[in-house]
Amino acid sequence: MSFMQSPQSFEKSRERAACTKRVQIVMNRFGDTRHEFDVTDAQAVALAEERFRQLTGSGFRAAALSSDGGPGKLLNKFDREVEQTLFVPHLQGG
Amino acid sequence: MSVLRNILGALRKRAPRGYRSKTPEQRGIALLLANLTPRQRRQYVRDRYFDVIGGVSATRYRLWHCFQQNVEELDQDGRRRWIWCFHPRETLVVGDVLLAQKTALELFEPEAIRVAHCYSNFSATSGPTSRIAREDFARTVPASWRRRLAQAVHSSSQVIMPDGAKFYRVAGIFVVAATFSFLLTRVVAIH
Repeated sequence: MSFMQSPQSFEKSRERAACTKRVQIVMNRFGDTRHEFDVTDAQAVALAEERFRQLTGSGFRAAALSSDGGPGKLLNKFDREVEQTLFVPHLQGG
Repeated sequence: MSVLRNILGALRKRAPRGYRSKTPEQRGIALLLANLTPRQRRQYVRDRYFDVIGGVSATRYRLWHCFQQNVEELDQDGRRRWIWCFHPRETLVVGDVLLAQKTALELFEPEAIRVAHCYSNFSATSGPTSRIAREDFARTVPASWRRRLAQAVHSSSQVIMPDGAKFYRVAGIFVVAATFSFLLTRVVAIH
């Protein structure tokens, strides 16, 4: 039994890790704040869900960003499968 | 030689990329650029605006680099119909404001238009065509290689060319000298 990972399996495990990473982007006056979490970590997911609930409850709109810059999707409830969630503050007329 | 070095230096200078950007303004622009389509990105870097299609009405909106009164509604011929003004309630950097407006128009257009105020023309002092907006764009948005080349050529030409008054004086002396030498050769030829 070998303790060394082959380059292929190392790449695969890296890809798998990247696939389980999610990020919540909250717009603020510092540009943005990013909260990363892993979908395999139940505690992190619960925390992310709580953050989602708090932000949307305080007037933020949550949108799932698309990877190609096209229109994303409006999120009304927390979705752990969304890779990038953007939180847009409440809008007003100027 | 220093002029050539100037131009090459300006072309080589890399724009800040990704989240490593330093200021909040640059981070906001990086987030915006990461969430534009390639076409919108090209348009924005070149023209200071990008077009967005409304998610419900399929209306074309033009979002200019500015904090306020920056959303132009266009008709089918690309002419301005109205200018809308809406923005996030929190104070955000301009890149975030534009991304929030893009997201709003694509995903919840009726709500955005409902809260927006309507104008018929840009504000001269604080609108997208104002000097403040243009300078802010030049400061925060990574320039395309064409814009960097144009800036480098412009600044180098100022080094090479003397200022206006000097240039005209030198040109005047040159014209007088040329005329004098021409007349002298004619006189010599006659005699």
